[in-house]
Amino acid sequence: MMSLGKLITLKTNDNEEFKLDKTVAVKLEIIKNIVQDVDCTSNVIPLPNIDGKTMTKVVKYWKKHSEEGVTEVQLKNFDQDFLKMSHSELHDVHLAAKYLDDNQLKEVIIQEFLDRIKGKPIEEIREVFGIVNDYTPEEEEEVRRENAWAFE
Amino acid sequence: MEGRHSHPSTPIPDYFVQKRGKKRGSYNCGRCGLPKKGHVCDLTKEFNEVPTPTSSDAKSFVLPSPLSVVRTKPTPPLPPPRQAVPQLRRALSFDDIGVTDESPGSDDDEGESEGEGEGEFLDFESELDLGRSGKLPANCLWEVFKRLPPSSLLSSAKVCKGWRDVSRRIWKSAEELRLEVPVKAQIGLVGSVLQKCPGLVKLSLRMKSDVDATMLACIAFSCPNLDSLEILTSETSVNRITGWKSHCGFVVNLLIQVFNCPNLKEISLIFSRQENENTDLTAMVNGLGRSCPRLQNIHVASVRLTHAVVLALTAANLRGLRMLSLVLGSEITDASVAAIASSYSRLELLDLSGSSISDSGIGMICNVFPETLLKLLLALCPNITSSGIQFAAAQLPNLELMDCGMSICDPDLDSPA
Repeated sequence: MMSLGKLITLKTNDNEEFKLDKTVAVKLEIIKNIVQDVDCTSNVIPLPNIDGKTMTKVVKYWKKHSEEGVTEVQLKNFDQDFLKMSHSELHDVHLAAKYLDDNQLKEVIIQEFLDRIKGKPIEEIREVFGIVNDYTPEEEEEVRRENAWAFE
Repeated sequence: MEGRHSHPSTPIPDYFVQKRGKKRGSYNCGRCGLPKKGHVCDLTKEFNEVPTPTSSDAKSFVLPSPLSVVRTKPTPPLPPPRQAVPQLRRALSFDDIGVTDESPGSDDDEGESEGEGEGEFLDFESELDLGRSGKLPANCLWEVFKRLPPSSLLSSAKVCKGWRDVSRRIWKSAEELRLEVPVKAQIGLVGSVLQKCPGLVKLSLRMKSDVDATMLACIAFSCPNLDSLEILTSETSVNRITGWKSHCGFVVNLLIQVFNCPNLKEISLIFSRQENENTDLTAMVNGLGRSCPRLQNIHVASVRLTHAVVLALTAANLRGLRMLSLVLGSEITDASVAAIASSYSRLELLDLSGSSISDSGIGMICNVFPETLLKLLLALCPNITSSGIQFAAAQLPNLELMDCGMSICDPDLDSPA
């Protein structure tokens, strides 16, 4: 029975295994559902949409956030460090959080994206996100007109 | 990441969109279609890789069921996640221009519209060209963009075509817009924003600038579906308006003439208290009656509200009128109440705060609206007494709210309802 085992093993699509305390794992909707619904013979839950690298980050986040006696300030600092990753990594974590139905983590990632976009010059955004300007000069002028409010 | 190609950021075929409404609880095997319970599918092995949303395994994509997947052996992977239902940001606000954090209020808006927004969003998903949004897939961008303050949303369109497309969609999905028009705003700018959101149902304009016919025409042409309009010509706390006062009447009359909003159901006009505010309210109300016959909810706050305005309003014969709020009109009298009572006997809300009506006006209200009236607001009415209030409380059994604050001396008798 699941309830007897203290650890849950999550297995990513590149066969990396993450052993998690059940109390941490059942915080997540998707895992909770599996745990509740299934009288599993094995404690291994496959996560076909998440790779090991991403899962490492997610697990790191969960562990920190379920630590006992962790203070707000510590969490804030941790989050700040945690979010220091490339936008494609961020995106992977976002997908994972979405898949795992972890709204808190999702929220944190979206907020980070927001911070990277909000109030930044266009050029800087393009650089950060590796986006090539695909407008012709005419189109660019048109877009500038369309969205002129922002460029007063 | 390996499984990336199967994530919902992949364009979603039509069949997926149509079938998505299916909920948990009625599982069939995604491979062979047999009922899932206790079923071990012999087709499983062929699909022992992350399924992609092709037509051959459409059902497995529609019915993700981690539960039964874990049961079957050999253990196939969990199917791709269900597309999380994104919450449409239906209310965009320009109040937060230059402010970095969202107000908590906008979260509420999102929550409310979550369910009903689903259909629209799916259309958006299915037709979106995902290849062009830089390196972030469109559904991720969508979630980010819908929380951007409008000014950032506008400028994000400049980054590349993909971003522009997503930002356009965000604008298009907006149904409610609170727009603060800065003092220096050019007419074209307001229009350029409104043109992006043809689906607007509710518009609130906080005017700090001069306005002319062109801008109002822009509003009229851009927002054909408007059914609620609010115009604030001054902030209640600080009056920083310059050059507006002389324009107010002009604007409102233009509004009536330019706007052709036969479906307008709600209008709220709050006039500045400046003495040189000289809108011809009578003419305005006449115009309202002519051009917006379906009005259900009228709110006008002006010190220039008079009995003549009330007469114009009653002459307009707005059959659907249920909520009438004429605030600050000290020249509104018992005779006005009589006129309102004779024309609009089905009112649910009557707000005559700041008027000069007396207890006999309350008596008339009680006689005409004993069944329908749910809310009666008579704050700051110097001529009513506690006995009038008590009479109303006794005679209006359905009353849910009565506000007679500051009207009478005895505070104990406030809000007896």
